[in-house]
Amino acid sequence: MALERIDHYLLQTTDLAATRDWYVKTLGMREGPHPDFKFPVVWLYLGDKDVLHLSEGGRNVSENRKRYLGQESQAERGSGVIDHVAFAGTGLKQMIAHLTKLGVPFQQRMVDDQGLYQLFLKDPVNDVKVELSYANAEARTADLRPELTASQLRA
Amino acid sequence: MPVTELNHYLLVAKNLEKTKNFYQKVLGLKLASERPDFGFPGYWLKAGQNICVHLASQAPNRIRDQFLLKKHRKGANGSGTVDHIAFLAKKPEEVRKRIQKHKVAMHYRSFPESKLFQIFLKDPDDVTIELNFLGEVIDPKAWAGKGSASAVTLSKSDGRRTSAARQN
Repeated sequence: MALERIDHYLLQTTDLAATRDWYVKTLGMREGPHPDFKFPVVWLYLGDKDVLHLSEGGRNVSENRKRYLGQESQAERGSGVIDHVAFAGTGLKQMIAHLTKLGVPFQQRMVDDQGLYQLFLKDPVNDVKVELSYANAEARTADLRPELTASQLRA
Repeated sequence: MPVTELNHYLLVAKNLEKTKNFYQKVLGLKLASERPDFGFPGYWLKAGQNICVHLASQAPNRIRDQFLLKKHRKGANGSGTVDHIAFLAKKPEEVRKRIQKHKVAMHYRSFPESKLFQIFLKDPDDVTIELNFLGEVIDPKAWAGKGSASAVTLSKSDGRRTSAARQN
């Protein structure tokens, strides 16, 4: 169930294009491929790795985004625009058993066309959402079924 | 590429010990022994070999506020407890030029004893970004003044407490 590294963070913004442009121009990130979540996202890369995910924020976000990700905060400024921080690891089945044993609630999501299987849970002390990201193959081996896959959302 | 990878995030926790326990017990991160004495309470946690979560406490602390370049009030919740997101970077001169070209305010901080140089800036939504240049010792004269709103050089005064001396 070991988590191996920090994977990415997700910012929700009222201006996707301006935020993307800022990270590209100021920090030298590169816009790159992302799965089709049926809601607007931008993935920004350093080298070959997506490190920053952008999605819509504020008050008028789409239902698809809310269904898939929830929305913790409608903040438009400051670190409240960070929706979650993600870690990558191996041992999905063990992590699920571990969380279940501890009684920690979590949601399961899958991005079918990217081979990603995600667990979302809350740091209960601070109410910060944490994503744990695993290879989809692990879920297939363990015969796990997510509550929602990205392809179930309507365009 | 000057900014090379995502490194860590810092949480200013409502309850430092409980938060440390969450990351250790629920997520299985390991407590890192490498954290220097910053003069305020906190922890570093690692996933695998990578220190990727830094914790500080919401209990009022002037040194912490000075260090993080902002005041943290008690009661922050959710991702409002995230103080900053940090990246590793290379070539500080190049990065400074790039930031200046886009007219973004920045602060920098030098830890010559640890061979660490940092630049802090805010993204358009006011999220603090920290850039870490490992192994870099800059010439303070070359960095003073233009383009850097303020500069802080930290040196260990008595080997225990970290003191901050503001320049400019």
